[in-house]
Amino acid sequence: MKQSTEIRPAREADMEAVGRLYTDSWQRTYRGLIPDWVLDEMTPEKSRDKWTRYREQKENGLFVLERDGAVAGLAACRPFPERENSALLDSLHVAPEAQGSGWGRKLISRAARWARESGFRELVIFVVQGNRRAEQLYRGMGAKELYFFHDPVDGAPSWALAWEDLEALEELGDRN
Amino acid sequence: MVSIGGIEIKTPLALAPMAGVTDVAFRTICREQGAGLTCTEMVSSKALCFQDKKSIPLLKLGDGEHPAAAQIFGSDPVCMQEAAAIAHQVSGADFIDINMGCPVPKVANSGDGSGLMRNPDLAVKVMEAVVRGAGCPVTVKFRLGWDKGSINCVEFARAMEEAGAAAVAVHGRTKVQMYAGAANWDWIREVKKAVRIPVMANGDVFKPEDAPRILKYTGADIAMIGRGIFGNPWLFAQCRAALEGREIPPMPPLSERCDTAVRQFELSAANKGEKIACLEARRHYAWYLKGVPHAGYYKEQIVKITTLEDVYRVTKGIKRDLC
Repeated sequence: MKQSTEIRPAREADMEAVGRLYTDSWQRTYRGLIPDWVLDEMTPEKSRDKWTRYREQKENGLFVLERDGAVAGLAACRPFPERENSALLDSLHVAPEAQGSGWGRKLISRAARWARESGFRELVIFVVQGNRRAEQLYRGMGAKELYFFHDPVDGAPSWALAWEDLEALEELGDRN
Repeated sequence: MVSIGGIEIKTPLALAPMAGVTDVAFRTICREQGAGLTCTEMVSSKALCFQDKKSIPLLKLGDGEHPAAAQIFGSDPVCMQEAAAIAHQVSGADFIDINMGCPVPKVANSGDGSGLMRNPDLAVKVMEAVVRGAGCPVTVKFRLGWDKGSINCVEFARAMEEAGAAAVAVHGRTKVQMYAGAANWDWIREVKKAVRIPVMANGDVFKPEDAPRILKYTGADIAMIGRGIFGNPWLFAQCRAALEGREIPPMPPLSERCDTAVRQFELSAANKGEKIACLEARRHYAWYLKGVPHAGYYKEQIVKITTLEDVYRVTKGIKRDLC
């Protein structure tokens, strides 16, 4: 049977699932890359509340990947006032069962569309040093280095990367 | 002369703490140019309480870097009290500074940094706890308020003074403004009128004459310089001259500015290791070259720097072609 999968704006009813996905994804992806105390403090409930607040801010964009009625991915974007005309792809996660099918790329493409439609000219993403899979994906899609920094909260060494051509980035999501 | 908690600040010019920028190497360069008070980058109180070793190097002061503050952030009074004690002990700083101004969503939306301005009762508890834990005078940096409809810096400053703060630093924008628009110095003046402790005025000090101007306009005791210093530590020497009514020294020639940049990166390498220092140097070197004509080629080279050898090679090229 063909699976039904779509990317759409997140709804309030998605927040429990988003909280679980985000917490699982952090605790699986970042163990060893960022301090344990940060990961161990995370709970699905705290994450749910975080994303509920995020979604309520009208200047932000929050999208989910829905696969057979379940939330299997997340893309969160907001203005990035540290730079001019800039948006930040704050968070990008795809559940393990949905990985390897290009959904990360499609979520990035959706974020690019949101950024372009919101009047921004670039999309920035932070990637923790050592998260090679994500870094390869972003650089492979044309993201350029902006700067290297340590996250002020968890101290993780990270790259700030940016896509400058939002239309081209949107089109990359159409490819399978 | 200004005195904070009994400690004299000989030059009324402070370097604002800025994460990812004001590390010990850059602070050393700024002190050489006349910064009278410096502060570490902000350090997470939770990281200190959980004994996360990666935070400790951020608290290291330079040789003879006094008076200086170690800055911590967080909103749990118990953790902040413990973190203040650790930060003071590890750094040997003269002050503990509490960050109640960081506007970055990851920090502020968790209730830390400028998020505390939305919860002044908790902010008071945090200040009281840090005063108990620090074992030295405690200062605090905050903004005008969360947004333009909730500006509360005057009451907030009074509450901080009441809770034991030895000085306050006020950035003339709200959290929502981040760094957009002009800083509002009128509110800083209102804060100065409302408290007896020293006030540091921060926001839009970009030119030498801005330092005397902000002090005169606000009545504040110390001018605090933030983004104006990116790639331009000479602004301290120029502001100092402006304050003392001396002729403002010109910016050094490009070759000398490059030498200073290189020295900063060498100091940074000695502290954090060559690899990290060189990756961070990419951003700083681009700032040092801001406004330099025909620097495009070298800016492209700078973003590829990974070793000190690369730094020397690029610098040699700049001196050959642009100086």
